[in-house]
Amino acid sequence: MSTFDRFQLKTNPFRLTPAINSEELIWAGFPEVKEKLENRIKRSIQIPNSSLILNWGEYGSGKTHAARYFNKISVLQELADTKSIPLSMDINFPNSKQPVWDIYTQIIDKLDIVYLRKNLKNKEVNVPSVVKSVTDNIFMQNVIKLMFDETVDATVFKGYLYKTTFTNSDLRNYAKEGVQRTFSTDNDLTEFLAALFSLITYQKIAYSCVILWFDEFESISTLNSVNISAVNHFLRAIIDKTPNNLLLFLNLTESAMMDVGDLSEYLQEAVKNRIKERIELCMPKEEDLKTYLKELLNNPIYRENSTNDYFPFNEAVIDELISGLGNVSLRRFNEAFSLLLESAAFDNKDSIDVAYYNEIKREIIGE
Amino acid sequence: MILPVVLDTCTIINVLRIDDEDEFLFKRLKDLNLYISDNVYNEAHKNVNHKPLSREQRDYITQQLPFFATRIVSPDARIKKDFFEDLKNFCNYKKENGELHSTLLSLHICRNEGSRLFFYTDDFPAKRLFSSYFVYQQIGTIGDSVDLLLFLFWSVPDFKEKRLKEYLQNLYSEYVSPLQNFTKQIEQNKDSWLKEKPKDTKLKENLQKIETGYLNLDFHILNDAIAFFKSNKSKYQEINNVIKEYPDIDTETELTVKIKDVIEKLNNFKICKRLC
Repeated sequence: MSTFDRFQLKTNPFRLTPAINSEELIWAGFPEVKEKLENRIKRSIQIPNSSLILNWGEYGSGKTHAARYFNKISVLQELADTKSIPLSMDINFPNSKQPVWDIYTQIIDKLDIVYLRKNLKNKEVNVPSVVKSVTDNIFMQNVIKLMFDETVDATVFKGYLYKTTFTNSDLRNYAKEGVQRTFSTDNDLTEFLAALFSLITYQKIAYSCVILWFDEFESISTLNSVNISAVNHFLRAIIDKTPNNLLLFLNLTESAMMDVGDLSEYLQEAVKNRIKERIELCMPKEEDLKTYLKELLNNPIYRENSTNDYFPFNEAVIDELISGLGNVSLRRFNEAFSLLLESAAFDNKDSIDVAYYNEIKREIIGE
Repeated sequence: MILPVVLDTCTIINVLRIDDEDEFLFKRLKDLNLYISDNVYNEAHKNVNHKPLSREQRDYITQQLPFFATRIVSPDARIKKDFFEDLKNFCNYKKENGELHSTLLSLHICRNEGSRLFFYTDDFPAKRLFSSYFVYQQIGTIGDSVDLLLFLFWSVPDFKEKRLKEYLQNLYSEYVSPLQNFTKQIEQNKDSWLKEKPKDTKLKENLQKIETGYLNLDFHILNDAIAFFKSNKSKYQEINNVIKEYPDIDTETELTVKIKDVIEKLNNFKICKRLC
């Protein structure tokens, strides 16, 4: 018998950090934000223009969760409906000394070359001919052709992209195909990614669009000035060179280090001007929270038969807790509800009423 | 500028680690009426291999360090005999490190040249401790790397504001990364620590303080929480293991906050340059 059976719950549904396992990633409540994000993705699935969207909110407001949720294949498939699915990736904004290389590496890490080849072949995308229309850089055309050449070993080719496991003698094999060097500058990386994204989304045949979610974008404020310029240059160039079918989300947490107003300090005009929409993930209001709680507690992954209420929480407890915590992030509410639930399970309670809440209130919300 | 300047180890390293290829800051330091103590020079050599620096930064600093040997001065024997023990007792400071020797050197330079001076150190606890001695003996002013950059900016005609902002951003970047990594490590484990001790309100409160201190860049709140965990080492071993990985996190945070504050002020208030 699980600890939470008495509450008709399979497990504690309140997560303090966003789930990684895609089966555990569900969306509860906050229909407006969900709809805004869905609309952005649907729009990119249907229309060609590339766009840059800023998602901003306080720490713990659900931005990372949103990025992970909208990277789920099943969610993307539903949004695509009968159209091709987007290729979507979430990227942790790097705070290293070589941010563009780190972004590039994270993208390469997530590319399944064998699957990409298969998908483009099945959809009858003629790579040698399409690649000419997506880049005029002959070297990049040749790199892309090799990438989609089934006679080229996909693992060795990934080594070429990473450079780390690629030797000069490997390079000699590629030279006769017009690939005489490895990538050396940030510009090479951007050109390659842009050509690749344009190719796989060509006429939305194999993929309808490419979506990149940059999480923790506020970390740009912690880079040195050279790298701030490098990231700006990367963002501007990737959008310019992928004019179609690219959707970039920048997740920005507001803090003393950076708020939306500080964006001008770190984003060059050319990048800032490309932001099409700013989606705010606000502090939850009472009604938002109640809807969220009801949907979360009754989601089939946590409860077999929906009770369609706040069980095991008495509604008055929820009101008390909301007024006790005040205007705080969703994460803080999750922490409080999680602790309350765990404590009630530990104390063998069958439900959570105001009397019990008052007993342990100090532990739950502090002084 | 003819006023004497005494530099501590961390300030030398901090200024050089953000210098450009054109050696702009190094050249400006060379133009100062600069003094350093023997201990500081030795510490700088040692620390350059221990501080978390990139290979380029390490090579660059090592290459520039020999110049500082030419600025080593020892306090005269009489000053050392009459005032060294006095200084240690006054400040209740027993560690014979660069900061202590720099303070004695400052006293010597001040009295020898008959001039007040500037001593720059990024060791904030030492700065607070020795400040009272500087005031008592009327030696001069203690500042940090940010103060030194601001001083160089107003006193050097071709030091442009854009360049100052870049140096400050670069220094901020160096200091905020450990803070960011520290907070992230705490955040990643917070869930399991809280689950282990669900009834421990002090634990919850202090973990929350680390998050709030970081998000609001409030080093008082952050340092409070760190001090709490440090004083309960056996109870919170895992948290202390994380804190141990970042031994300078409290003083580093103080400098981080100061840099951020100056960067913001520069957007609203101009610094008056030297009149030429």
